Amino acid sequence: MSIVNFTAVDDFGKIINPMIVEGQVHGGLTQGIGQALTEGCHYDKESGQLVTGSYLDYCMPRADDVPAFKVGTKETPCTHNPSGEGLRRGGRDRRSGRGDERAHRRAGSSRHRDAGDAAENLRACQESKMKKAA
Amino acid sequence: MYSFNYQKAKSVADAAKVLAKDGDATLLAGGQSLIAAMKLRLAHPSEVIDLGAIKELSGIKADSKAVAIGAMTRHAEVASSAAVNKAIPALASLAAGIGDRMVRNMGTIGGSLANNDPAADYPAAVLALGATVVTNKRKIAADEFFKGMYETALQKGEIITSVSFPVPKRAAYMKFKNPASRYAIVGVFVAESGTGVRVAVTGAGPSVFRVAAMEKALAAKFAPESVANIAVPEKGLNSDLHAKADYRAHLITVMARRAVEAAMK
Repeated sequence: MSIVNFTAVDDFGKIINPMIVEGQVHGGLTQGIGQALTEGCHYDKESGQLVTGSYLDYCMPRADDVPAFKVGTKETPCTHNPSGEGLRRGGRDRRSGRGDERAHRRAGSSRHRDAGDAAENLRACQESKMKKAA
Repeated sequence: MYSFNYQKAKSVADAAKVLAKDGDATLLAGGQSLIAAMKLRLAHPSEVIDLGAIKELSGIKADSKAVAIGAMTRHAEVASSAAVNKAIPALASLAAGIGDRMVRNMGTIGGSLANNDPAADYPAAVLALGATVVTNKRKIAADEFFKGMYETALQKGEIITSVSFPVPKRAAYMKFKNPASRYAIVGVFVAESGTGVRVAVTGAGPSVFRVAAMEKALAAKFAPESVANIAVPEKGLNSDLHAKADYRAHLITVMARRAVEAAMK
């Protein structure tokens, strides 16, 4: 499975440093994709040993696992931020909910919403591939 | 990590001497498995003998019949070698797909073979191409070399010096990689040479193995459809959180078919 395209448009209010904001969005998207598709903690049922104890087994997404993101912004100044400059928070929105849910839907398994279920996703995907091939 | 002594061997004979003296001594090639195992305290050698300074262990020699690769040759060197790309392109592309860039710049063919990780890539090439593993004591045929999970025919004090690959008529390697480690969940190397067709599977079982039914079918007709319906029984295959045995069995057929397709291009 690979993600061929990902477009995101955000309203962060007034942006002070666009480069840093874009970097935050990239990081958030990658983290969301990781939570949705590749990351997952697994413990051995008998011993309680953490099986995904290193990055050999815990799949943190790397740069070549994600596409070149297309990101855009719209600036609507925030009216209730004490800074008075119309600032909103940036970047984190991708990860906290939207990024991973969006990726979940693309993967065709909206029932799995938790990061811990990524391996389940992978298995469901493997099973459906085998059914198709049979 | 437990404490250990470190020394740089000046020659293969020098390293063999230390190995023979100390049963808990170990060889350090590229360190891509050993260092990780030591950090996790899974390995605790008394003595680490670094082979990195022995120049004659590194390098590639190729002619029209065979490619000989020194044990300490890094994966990146094999991947980018013009000689390997010309003689056995499948071997160069296999090396280019091992781990990630950092692993390829450090990891060595000798280290990979001596470790015989069930999911390593090189064992598939060595077995399918019918290569010969050369040590400081003897020459070992591929069919005799791989003995089981992390087990090889290497004896105590025996050090791999090079590997000699006969040049095949055509060959290809296809792997379905684990996205985290990039090790093979299943990798299939198909090679056709004057002596017949060999199909070697890595990642699926406790150690690399050949599939006789596929070899026979491909010898009769070298085409993707020859292997498309040959299923390998799931009994005895690896089952873990990344893939169950039935999925690995399924992947062997898929990867074999793709490897034949690639070899025909």
